Amino acid sequence: MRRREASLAPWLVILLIAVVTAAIEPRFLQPGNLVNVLRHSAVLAVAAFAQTLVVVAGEIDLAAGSLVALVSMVSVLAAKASGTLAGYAAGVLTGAAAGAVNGLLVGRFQVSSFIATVAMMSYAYGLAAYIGGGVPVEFPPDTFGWLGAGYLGPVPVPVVAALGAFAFAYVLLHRAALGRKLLLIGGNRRAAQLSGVDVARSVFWGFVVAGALVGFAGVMLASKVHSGQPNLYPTLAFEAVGAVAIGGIPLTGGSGRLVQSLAGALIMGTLENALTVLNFTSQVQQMVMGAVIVFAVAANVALSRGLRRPAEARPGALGT
Amino acid sequence: MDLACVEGSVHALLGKNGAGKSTLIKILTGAEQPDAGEIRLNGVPVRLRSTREARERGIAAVYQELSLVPELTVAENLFLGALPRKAAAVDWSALVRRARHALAWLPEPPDPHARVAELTVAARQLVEITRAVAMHSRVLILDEPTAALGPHEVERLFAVIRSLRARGVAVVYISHRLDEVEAIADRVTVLRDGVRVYAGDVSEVSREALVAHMVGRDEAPEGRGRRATASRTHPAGQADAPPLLLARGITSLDASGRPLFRDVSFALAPGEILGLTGPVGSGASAVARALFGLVPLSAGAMELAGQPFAPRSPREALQRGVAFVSDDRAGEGVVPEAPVAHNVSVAVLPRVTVRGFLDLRAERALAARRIEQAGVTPADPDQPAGTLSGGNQQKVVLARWMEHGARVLVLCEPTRGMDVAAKEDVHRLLRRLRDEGAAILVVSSEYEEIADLADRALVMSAGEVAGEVRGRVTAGDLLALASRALPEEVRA
Repeated sequence: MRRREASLAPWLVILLIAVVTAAIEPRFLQPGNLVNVLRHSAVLAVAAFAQTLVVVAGEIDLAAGSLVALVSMVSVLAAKASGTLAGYAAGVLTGAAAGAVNGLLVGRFQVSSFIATVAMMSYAYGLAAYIGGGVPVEFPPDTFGWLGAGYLGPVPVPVVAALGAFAFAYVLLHRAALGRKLLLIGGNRRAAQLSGVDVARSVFWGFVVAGALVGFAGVMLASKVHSGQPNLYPTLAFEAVGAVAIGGIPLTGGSGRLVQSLAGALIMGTLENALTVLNFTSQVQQMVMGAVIVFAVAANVALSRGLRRPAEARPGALGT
Repeated sequence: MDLACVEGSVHALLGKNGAGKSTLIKILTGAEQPDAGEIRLNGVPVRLRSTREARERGIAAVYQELSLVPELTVAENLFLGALPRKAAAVDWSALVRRARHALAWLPEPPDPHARVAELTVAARQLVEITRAVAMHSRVLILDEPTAALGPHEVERLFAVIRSLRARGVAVVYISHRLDEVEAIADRVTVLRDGVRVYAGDVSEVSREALVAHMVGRDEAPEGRGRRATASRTHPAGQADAPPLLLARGITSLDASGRPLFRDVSFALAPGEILGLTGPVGSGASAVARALFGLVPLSAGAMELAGQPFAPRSPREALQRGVAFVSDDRAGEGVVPEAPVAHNVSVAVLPRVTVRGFLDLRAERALAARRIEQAGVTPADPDQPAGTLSGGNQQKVVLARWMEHGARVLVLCEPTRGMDVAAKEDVHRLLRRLRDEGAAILVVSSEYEEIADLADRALVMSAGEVAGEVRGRVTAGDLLALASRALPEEVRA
């Protein structure tokens, strides 16, 4: 009963933002604007799905911000050389490769995911600037814009793409052995290990899939701006963590439904759109989003602390 | 609870694990507060609100868990909090001089400049004792001080205790070893279940009587003169089957090269429960962990079903059919946020995975069946495991291994912290698994638990097998073996 109420809460927040905004500025509810909300939330949602796979395992991925920049550069370069589909594929693979490095460091070599992914963020930022000589790569084939800016009838392609990513991540997290293992590892790494779960391997693959999803988000972005930008969406990783936290998934790991991340991403997308509609400048928007993320993470940590019983004093492992 | 310590005497404090010795020590050293009663020092009632206050009044304790700072040198540790000063700075040469003086009682004193982290466990123990002695305490409490020491070092320690006694220090000496108690103590107090059950002069009481006081009268050991009668309490005919798991002379060293256990051999057959027990620090739980690949062996060999068995990881042990139930239920047993069903299926995920996807319905059904068999209440596979009581969490873990079909089940302190009913449930479950042919090794520091559960028991002491109890296992026999009060084998 309480669980259901808790999972409803983020949707009520979206409704609240919509009602308040519409009361001040009725244009918010125009169908065109509502579609805008979805379109603008799409990239963040995909990044949030990626983040969810990592967070449930008790880890964090802070590389996404500069990784999408690197992905956009690689993707546009590949599209110019071998066509749009090759560009899309190269972008996803770049993300997966970065995820593999993160996964190896975190899973196999037990580097903290915070350190490993911040290092990856720095590396990807440098590499993105390096391969383009510090300037954007432009003029991919015209078809390259389809994924990020195209329409299927009235529905924007990025919205469809985000739904596809949701289905993929949902199945992986809730219907595949890998997702189950990630949840168990996040819940109690040691117990999972002693029950035969291959922790290092599972964490590795979790990061690989998360990286591929970030790659996909990067391709969507590159397609949307129709170029490779070495400084594309630097705050993406933090916004993704914020979306996961706002959705109510404990950042300590062990539990979480993918739909919560979807709700979290939609809250952030709705809020951003509301601020635009209400004529706040983009600087103000940035500040508000930063404040919301900090608030969400703080509330999340406080809540999950309260839910967990205080750590029991562990008897010495070799005591007897 | 009364305890009177006279200056210039050595007072032994005896009792099984959990009899209340540690709590008593904590109260005497100010680490915990008594609910009632008073402590008098030289006849004057004192209130010891903190360990610091106790120390200032001349009460010092050496605990089993060492309290030295590993990063500092021996000399710094010895005089921590009272470093000699010259003006505002530490007087290093005076410090080293005093340290050498304090350590002079040792046959091979450690270098005062050595960092404690570089010392062996035995050497650390000796430094710890030196520190307590160097404080010029009036009351010195030693908690199992010889657990990590060799015979030579024990002799030295006894010499120091005797000289302290001659100087008028009151020594409280806690040990499982009755031979040590006889060698060093003047008076003895026995605790059982938090109550003093005996107090008197050591010279006036026999070892057998002390053991009887420790375990309670009706479970006293019958010792050597007992008639040899086979009286197995369970009908399993399989206990004479060839052993499934064999350990031959297995030895494991800790990081500083000190053995966790040494030259341990045993055979475990399908359809039997082998108990492994001993006082805290005996190495029994390390043996259990070695069977699961959690503690590396440095010597000896193991065999499983006739094949060499040297697991390097839990996964490898599991693949060979050896499962492990940790004494740390919260840390190594259940995944609290995950539903009970997921906690059961975790070890058999391939069994509920069809072409890469989980068959959630099959998983839930399988878990429901197992938790019903294991008697988990409520028998709800969807409930988060962390919301269950400790006993039910343990049943969930056992349901996991029932589904896994482990041939060998190794359990550490399987009922620690449970109420009597839950304990009995877990015991019944383990007996049933045994009767179904599992080979079960139970490590427990509660002698009653081993007596209740085991078909046969090994007693460990200071890292070695001190003896074996065959046939009817009684808590008294176990305690007597652990205390080195009986010959090495007891047959009922």
